[in-house]
Amino acid sequence: MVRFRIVVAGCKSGRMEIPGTGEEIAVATSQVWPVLRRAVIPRAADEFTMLKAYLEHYRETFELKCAGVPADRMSERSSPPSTMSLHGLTRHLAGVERWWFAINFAGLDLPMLHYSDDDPDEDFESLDGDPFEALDLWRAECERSREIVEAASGLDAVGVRERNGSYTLRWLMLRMIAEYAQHDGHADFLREGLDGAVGA
Amino acid sequence: MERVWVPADGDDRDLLLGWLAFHRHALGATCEGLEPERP
Repeated sequence: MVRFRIVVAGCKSGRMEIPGTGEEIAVATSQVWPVLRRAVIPRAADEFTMLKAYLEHYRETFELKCAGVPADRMSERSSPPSTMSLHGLTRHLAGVERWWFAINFAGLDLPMLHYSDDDPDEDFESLDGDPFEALDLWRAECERSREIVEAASGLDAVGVRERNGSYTLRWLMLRMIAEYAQHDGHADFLREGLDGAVGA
Repeated sequence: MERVWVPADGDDRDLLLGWLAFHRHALGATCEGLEPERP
């Protein structure tokens, strides 16, 4: 019997008919964002490929959570009592990309983004700028991070600047996957609070 | 609650299991102290 998974946008659970057979099967699906995802996670691949795929998947998820939100709503704190917003998350993630991949792992001499010792929460609190420019900056930082990863000798490559000790690219990739997964969850609630859109 | 912290470093198995343990434990820590009627 051919088994396949039916994914229906907005469907959580129920029964579906296998096209052309008249046979019904139980379906339990996650809600799916109604666009074609580019970042595919392979079921079987080497470790480096898998880690890069997962990180790309989560970066793309964040992009989708922001897609279609008007600029004047990107800074709304739509999940009180949290003070987070999609604009703030964008700024934060751009700063995280630069801090970890460019400044620490690659050792590049760059200023930190959206942070100062006087205002450590500047990324989430200072939302006067253009959110779409913030997204462009985040995308540019992601692209530089990709170049740094591709240029590395492998997952055992060690970061140039130590952070509480040395760490490998393997550790950093896992850390970034975890950070994006966490913030994608935040973005999920924020987006739902803005216009009800859900899914991943 | 005593926290499970992120692994310092290691091979792929050590890091994968370490990070998974950290986040499982983080969920428990986030729920700690909540009253039963507010899950």
